[in-house]
Amino acid sequence: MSRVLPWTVLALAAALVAAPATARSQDVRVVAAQRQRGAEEQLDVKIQFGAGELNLAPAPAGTLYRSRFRYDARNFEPVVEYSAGKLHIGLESPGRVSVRRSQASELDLALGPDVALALDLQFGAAQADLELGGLNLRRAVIATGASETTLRFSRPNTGQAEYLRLNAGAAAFRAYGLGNANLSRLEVEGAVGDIVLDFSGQWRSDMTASVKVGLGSLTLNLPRGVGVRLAREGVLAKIDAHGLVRDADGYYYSEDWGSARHKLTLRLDAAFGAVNVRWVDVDLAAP
Amino acid sequence: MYPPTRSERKATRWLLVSALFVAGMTGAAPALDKPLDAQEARIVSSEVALSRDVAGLTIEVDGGRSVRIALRNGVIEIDGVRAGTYDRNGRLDRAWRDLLNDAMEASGDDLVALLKGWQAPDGEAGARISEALASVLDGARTLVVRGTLNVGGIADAEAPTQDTIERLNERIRELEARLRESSDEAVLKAELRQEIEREVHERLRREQRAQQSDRGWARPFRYIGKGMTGLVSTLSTFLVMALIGFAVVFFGRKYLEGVADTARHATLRSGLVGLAASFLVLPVFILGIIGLVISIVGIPLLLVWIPLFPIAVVLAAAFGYLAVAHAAGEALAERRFYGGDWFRLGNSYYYVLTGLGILLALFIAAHVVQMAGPWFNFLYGLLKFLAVMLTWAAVSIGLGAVLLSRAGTQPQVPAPEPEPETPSGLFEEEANV
Repeated sequence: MSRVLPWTVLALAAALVAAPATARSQDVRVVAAQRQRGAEEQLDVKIQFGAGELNLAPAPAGTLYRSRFRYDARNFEPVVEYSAGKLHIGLESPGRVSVRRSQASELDLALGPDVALALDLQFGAAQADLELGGLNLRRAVIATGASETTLRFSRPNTGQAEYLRLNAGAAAFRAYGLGNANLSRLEVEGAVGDIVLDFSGQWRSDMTASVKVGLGSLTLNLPRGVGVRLAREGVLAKIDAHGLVRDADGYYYSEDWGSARHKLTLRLDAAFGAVNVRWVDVDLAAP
Repeated sequence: MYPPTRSERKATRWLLVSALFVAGMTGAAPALDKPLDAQEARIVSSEVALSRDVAGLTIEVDGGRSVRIALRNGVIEIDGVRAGTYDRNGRLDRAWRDLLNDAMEASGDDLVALLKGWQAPDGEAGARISEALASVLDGARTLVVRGTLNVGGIADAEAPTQDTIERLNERIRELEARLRESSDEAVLKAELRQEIEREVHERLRREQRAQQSDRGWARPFRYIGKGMTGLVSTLSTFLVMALIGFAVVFFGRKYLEGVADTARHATLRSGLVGLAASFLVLPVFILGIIGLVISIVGIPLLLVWIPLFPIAVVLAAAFGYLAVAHAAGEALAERRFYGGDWFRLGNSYYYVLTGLGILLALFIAAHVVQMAGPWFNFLYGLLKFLAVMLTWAAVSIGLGAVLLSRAGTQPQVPAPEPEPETPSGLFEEEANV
């Protein structure tokens, strides 16, 4: 509660400050675009979204992508460029636009589940809800500025993902169901803020994760049944690694490291702040 | 934009004739209400745009055919060309927007069915939109004319949707006549435009010449004007600082004097402390933020720390500057006043006033020199540089003195010399006398 209150106060203050700006007359425009899947086997998606609300989800089968923008036409124009399996989508502004003014923008994007996806997502001061479960994700780079981002793999990834790179600036970043991502390599870099990495889900392969956190708190939700080995760098961060045993070399291990079917190797570099480890009970092989 | 030449007009006319002939030939089939190749289309991509002024739909189907239909500010546009008008918020506008709202949510076959099933409201404009949609969705290569002819800038909104070859020939003649008229009109417009441009250029040249002559005459006064502006600005600063200084003396003379005493008696130390403080202000500010964030429970204090710290620094610097002015005024007074003058003028208000005068004197001198013209630019620059350096030194010493004396509560003044011990025997002897 004590941690929610200041943010609530800040949000209310920001809303009050932003109110006169948003109350000014706007030319709100809604643009929806979609494309059906043709012969495409792969889709490279580049998303650039300055500020506002961003939602990403799987599209129905047969659809390559669907997008829906809501924005102020006086300050922005949408970009939807598609050519030969490459999609560039986002909002562009001809001039400088204050973050306050761009808060009202929205982008709902749905991507096809039938094609192999390479995702390059960059967004600034945004509130983002990214549901990547059920897609055929091969690799993804997600870079956020000052944002509140929730990334979820509610369903298993249908492909084998090579890597997932998350770069969070001054942000609250939460990733749930990373076990469903069927991911070989996870790289997380966080500057300032709260980061939650939840590794629950259906594990199908081993994962290597590298997590670098500057200032803030990092919470690791580790599923029981997955062997965990944690290597820690950085001396100032406080780590609460209950459930892990430390060996002579300074590595932390889960008790079932040797016998577990799937393994998670974590390299953790936290400068300041707190690292919390939580254990969650999940059915690792649930359909 | 120049009007077309005679040869261009001729070429355009032949192109028009050829295009309409081809259109007429290919349009023979639609005239019989039978599309050439009616086949079910698959929508490859679609884009819907809705706003207060625009309601647009772009669809692309298999085979690369596409159509762009937009209702924009009362005008119907098909593939970017005006194809008629509509009433805003009228039946057609509402029906079209309803269709687009549904189209945003539909995809694939549903979208095809939705668009094909759309019933345009009665009227030619609605029929034209329906036909444009059908031309793409049915895969029919229907008549090209489709009310979108644009000849020599004339949008033919009233063109019929399906024509016979005879009617087309008739329309060719009609359009040729209109093209001739519009060409004559265009030539006239171009001549008029050239004439206006010539006149505007001539007027601009006259105005430029007048401005140049004015500038030469006004040059000597420019320096006087600049100098006067600077002088007024400095005097205003003096007045404002003096008023603030009086308020400080009135409400907190003890503290101001404490800081002033520290600045006088520990000038070097105050200067060094002030210098160090000015360098450390930013790191302290940032470290404070980090510390509060790390402590988590201190996060609410950020709301106080972030705005109040800079304000406190600025207030401390201003307070210090006034204290230095006070010290300078007091030092001057000690050299000037004798006897009863002390009782009349020896007070803090006077010190602040004269001290501020001392600190700002160089600025005033610089602006007076500036008024003399460009010949004394070097002297002006030198005086201004010295004035800025003096101000910077005063602020540094003042800030340091504020810190050393804890805002004047603990003045750093030398301890008073011990009074000489009174020889007790003397009094005893006197007593004996």
